[in-house]
Order: sequence, then structure tokens, then C-alpha cells
Amino acid sequence: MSRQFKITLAILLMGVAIGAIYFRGLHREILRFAHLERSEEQARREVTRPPVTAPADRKFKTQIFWASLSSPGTLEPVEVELPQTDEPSERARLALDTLIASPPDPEQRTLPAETLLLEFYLLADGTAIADFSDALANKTPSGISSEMLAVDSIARTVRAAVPTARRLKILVQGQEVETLAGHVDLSGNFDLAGAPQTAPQNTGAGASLTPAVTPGTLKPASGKQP
Amino acid sequence: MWRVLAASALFLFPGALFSQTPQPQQQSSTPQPQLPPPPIPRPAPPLAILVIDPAHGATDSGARGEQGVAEKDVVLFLAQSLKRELERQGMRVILTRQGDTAASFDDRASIANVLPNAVFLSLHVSSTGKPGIATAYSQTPPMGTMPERRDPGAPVPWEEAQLAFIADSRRLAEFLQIQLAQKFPGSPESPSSGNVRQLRLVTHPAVAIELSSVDLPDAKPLERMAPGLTESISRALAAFRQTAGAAKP
Repeated sequence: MSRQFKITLAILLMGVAIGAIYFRGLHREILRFAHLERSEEQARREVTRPPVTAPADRKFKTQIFWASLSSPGTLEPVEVELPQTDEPSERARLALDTLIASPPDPEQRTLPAETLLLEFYLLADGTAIADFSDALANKTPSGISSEMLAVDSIARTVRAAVPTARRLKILVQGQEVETLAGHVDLSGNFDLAGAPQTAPQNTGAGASLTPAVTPGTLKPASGKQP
Repeated sequence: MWRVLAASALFLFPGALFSQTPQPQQQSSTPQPQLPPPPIPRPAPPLAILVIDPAHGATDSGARGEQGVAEKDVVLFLAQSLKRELERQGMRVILTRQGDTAASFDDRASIANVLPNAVFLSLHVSSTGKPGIATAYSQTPPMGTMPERRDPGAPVPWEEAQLAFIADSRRLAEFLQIQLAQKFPGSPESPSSGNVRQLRLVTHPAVAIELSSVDLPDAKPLERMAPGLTESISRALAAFRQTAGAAKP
């Protein structure tokens, strides 16, 4: 009895030991697969995107619009240098990727970190089309202010990178959506020419973000003279 | 009876809606010895009905805080409280939803759009931002010149419903923001403009008010904003009505 008990116990202990080793390996495998799955979108993006052909030592300067730390609810341009490319849509892609991936401070983030720019097209008539992954719609904090900030940062960053773009259409997973996260209308185009269509105007005197893109002067009804 | 009078007033004086002509009462109150008094006393223009839109509802909870505060519940509480208080002041108030129900943007806009004379207020609570502040939003004007207001009777494309009212909405937002900035310190001094889906569909002066934020342990601080909101809306609407004529050519 006691001998049988000991043998059983020894077998069980061995089983536990083997299990522990096996499960550790399994856990690592699962983590690896999870990582692979996550980067599938990334892979698609890499495949569908032509490589940047310009020499890496040439750079172009553009402005990326992240949230301002000093005056919350507004955007602040940051001058960045990105690898030079002659393709305007490629410039916009690089700028938007930077907007998503590298805010100087996490507090300055305007788009969810999980967002991917799937495609960017620039049509001959000056229409820019930016197609984002569904994280843009699912992970952007719901609210008029937060959604406006997200859309505005995209629009202004595109305009800084591609001055020839006249209007911007934002798609999610290749589809037109009604709103970004329940509030801000994405069914139309955002005008990039002239005064910014989407500029938050809530800071009164401090509303001027940068001399190049002073928010449009909104005339109340009293400004409309006969 | 009231509706008949209101409709006839609208028919007789469509301009009174937008106050492009002098107010009928002003005319009748001026002594005019040469002319006989009008045979029928002119009815006053109908008071604007306030349509309050508690955003979201049912499965769409809107912004949701980590502690479970949901935008849809807070805005419904505030809307019901506003309706109670503003009706006590003699205003006519309609809500776009009564309970935790779903309604499309179009459904909500229709409630206001079938009324001859209304003001539309959409209530929201943000996900983020400085707590306890309130911001009014009106629709961003399109590029170029402001479109002329259409003939009130002419059909308007649904997607362009707000176009002709953008200036009025902006003026209402300005009056609201002045009040909100006083009631809720830290709020911006002037209103914002944005491409808010709901406002785009409304054929009346329309403003969204966003409070911040759902990032709270419970909804009590937001619910306590109700009296300040009531007073802000009441005062802003009074100022809006008074200046309805002055802003027009």
C-alpha cells in the first residue's frame, strides 16, 4: 500500500514537473502568436506600401500637430524632420505615422496608439484620403472635444505635409463612417484650403496655433451686414 | 386654438420668425392716428420651443468612465431636470428621448424639424478634460460665404439642414458660453465650432453643450451642474430672443 502510494505520488510529481515545463513553453508560444497576429495589419501596410526610395540622409521638414500641454483642448505644431521623398502621399504617410507613433509626451497624444494608417491616397483634384484601422473609431475617447482634436490633428498634419491637398476624407477600414466615435461627423470632407474647417475655437485670445494656420475668423450673425 | 393662432401668425408674418421685419407688437403699439386700428388683434409670434437632446441611449452609452459613469445616463438626468425647471419658468420643452432608449441622429433632428419655431440643444459629457467645465459648440461654417437663409417654406436637403442657421446657432452658442463661463469656472470664454453630426441635421438654431467629464467615481458632481445649466440656458435664450432682430440686416 505504502509502496504503491509512493510510486503513484512519484508519477504524479513527475507529471506536474513535466506539465510545468511544458506550460512555460506553451505560454511563450501563445505570446509569440499573439504578437504575430497583432502585426498582421502592420505587415499588410508594409506590403502594400512602396518603399521609400530617397536616400536616407535627405530630410524634409514638416509640422506634426499634437495636443498642447499648456492649453488643453488645442493643438500645437512640432517641427520634425522626416526622410525626404518626392511622393506627396508618402510625405503625408510618414507625417501621419509620426503623429500616431511618436508624440513627445503621452499626454499630447491625439490618436490612439493602436491606430494604423492603412492607406493614404492623394487624388489629382487635391482630395486626400486617409484610411485608418478600426482602432481609430473604437479607441478614440468618445466626446466632441476629443474627437475634434483627433480629426483636427490629422487634417492639419496632412496639410502641413502636403500643401497641395485641398480636402481630406477620413475612412475607417476602407469604409466611410458616420461619426468618429459618436459625435464628430466623418461622412463629409474636411476642407484643408484656407481657414481650417475643424479648428477648435474655444480658447479665445489664445486660439492662434501657429501663424500659418490661424483659426478662421468666425463671424457671428452680427457680423453679417446688409 | 393656440396652434391655429400660431400658424396664422406664421402665415401672415413669416418674417416674424426671423425678425427681418419689425415686430408686430411694435407696430400696433405705435400710435398711428391716420390709420384705423387693425380689425383683428395680431397674435404674438409663437415662442420657440426648446428641444433638449440627451445624446446616446440604450446600447450606445456614449463616453464611459472607468468607474462606470455613463454619458447616456448623466445627460438623461440633466435633460429631465432641465425640462422640469424650464417648464416651471413657462418655457415649452421637448426631450428627444424620455428614457434609456435608442434614437438615431435623424430621429432626434426630426422631432425639432417638424416644429415651426424651435431651438435645439444637444447635451453631452466628454471622456476627458478638466472636470466641471462646460463648452458650447455650434456647427462649423462651410468655406466661403455664408449661404443665404432659404425661404422658410422651401424644402431643404437633409444633410444641409443646419447650413442656413449656422450664424444663429453661433450667436446662441456665444450667449450660452458667456453664461456657462460664469457658472462653471474654468470653462472657455467663447464657444467652439465643430462638425457635430447631430447639429448638422437640424433646421433650427442648434447648439451642443459638452460637460466634462465621465472620468469620475460617480455621477453626482455632474448632476449637481443641473441648476447652473438651467440658469445658463434660461438667460442665454432670453438674450438670444432679444437680439433676434438686431443681428439681421
